[in-house]
Amino acid sequence: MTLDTAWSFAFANPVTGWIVLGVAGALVLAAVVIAGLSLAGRLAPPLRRELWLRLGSWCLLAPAMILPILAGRVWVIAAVTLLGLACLGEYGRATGLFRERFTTFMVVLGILAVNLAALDHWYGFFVALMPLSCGFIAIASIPFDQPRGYVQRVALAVFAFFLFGAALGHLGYIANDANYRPLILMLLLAVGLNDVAAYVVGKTLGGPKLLPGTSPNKTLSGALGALVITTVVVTLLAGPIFVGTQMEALPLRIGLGVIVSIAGQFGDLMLSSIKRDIGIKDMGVAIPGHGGVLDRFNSLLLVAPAVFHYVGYIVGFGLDQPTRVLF
Amino acid sequence: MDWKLKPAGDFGLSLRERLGSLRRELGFLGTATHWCWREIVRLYLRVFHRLRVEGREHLPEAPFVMIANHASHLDTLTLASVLPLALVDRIHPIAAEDAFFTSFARSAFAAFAVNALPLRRRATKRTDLGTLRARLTEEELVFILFPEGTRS
Repeated sequence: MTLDTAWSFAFANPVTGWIVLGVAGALVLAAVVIAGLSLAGRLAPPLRRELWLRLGSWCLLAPAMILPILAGRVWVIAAVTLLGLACLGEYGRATGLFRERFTTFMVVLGILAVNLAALDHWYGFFVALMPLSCGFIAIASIPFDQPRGYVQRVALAVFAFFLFGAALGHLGYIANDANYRPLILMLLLAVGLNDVAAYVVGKTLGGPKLLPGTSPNKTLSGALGALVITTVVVTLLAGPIFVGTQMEALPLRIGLGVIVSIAGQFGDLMLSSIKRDIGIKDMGVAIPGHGGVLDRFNSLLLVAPAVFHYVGYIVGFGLDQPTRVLF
Repeated sequence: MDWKLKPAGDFGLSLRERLGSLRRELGFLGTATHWCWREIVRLYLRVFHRLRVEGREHLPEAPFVMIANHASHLDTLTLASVLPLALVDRIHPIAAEDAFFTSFARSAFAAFAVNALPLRRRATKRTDLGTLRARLTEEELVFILFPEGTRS
């Protein structure tokens, strides 16, 4: 494939181009705004530093997320695998699961296997890996004959495999569809927007807290505002993405938006619950200005399987593509 | 040992800070690199030095502090590599910070290959010793210590 045809192939759906240009534009605009406010002396030095740090992180994160999606399905699945392993690393160090080396090793194998099944486009194995991996995780530490803490380490490991293997793996599996690029880009954009919308609407309107015990800064108005904004954006973008399919119907697109927003917010609250229970603020220090990798990608964890099965039920994924491509 | 929902001792530190931390705990990857290094050292000692170990049965159960004289850098590597495999991620040679933790590369080697913990010679704080003592007993570790403080 020449560069020209590869380019037109990657940008076959107009939404792909809109989102890539939109993100690039937003980064440039953010830089201009921060520079302008800095020059006008409107930003206190600590805030200025924080804003540049966050923007700098985004300038690395955005290409790291967008380029594999444009490059092809193998790259998407490879990126999802690395993301899953990075999340497991942070989760393991935060919960203490990392001290259970062999059980952790089983989770690593489970994550690799799920992504291998996605790469092979073998749905049967992809689905079978949930009970199989959990079974291996459950028996991994039995031969060491140390039953104390068995329930805790197996529960933590199964939870980890569910989140970073089984659930996140759906994001890579979506790439088996010929039209995956605009859909995954929209999901990443919508999930990010969902967080920002909840923050901005919550700060602007205020009002009662959502779940103060879990996450003291979230408000009910922010959650509802995010639900409305994300649903509108997803409904609009899903039109040209699913043109000519059953998913084009307005109620179905609205349903998709509601699922993305609710699953995204619950992903966020789920990580908040984990952090509150352990008594930590961030999951790591990998991304300056953001915290850990999990702090950035928590919202995606539940969105991936929810959207996969919703869209999969209505139009299916990769049904016209070859299966069992590796073995 | 009872299970505790407890983050790594060096949780929340940057990689650079982790390397030089007395609270460092190797994660999954760190244990793998440490284990590989140990096997390389064992192979080297067996092939080139025909190493023979006597009195292994006198080793107590962890935790314990292993004290030795210090004739060469091989002392640390040898002692760490012949201790039982079951202790592999719990053995920490105590190393001079001014010799082994001066640059990023040295610190990374000392941390991820040797699993050494840094001690400041002549500037050790009371809290440093307290941290080491607490970790030794709570986590059932093994420290390899050279009281001469330098090579004899």
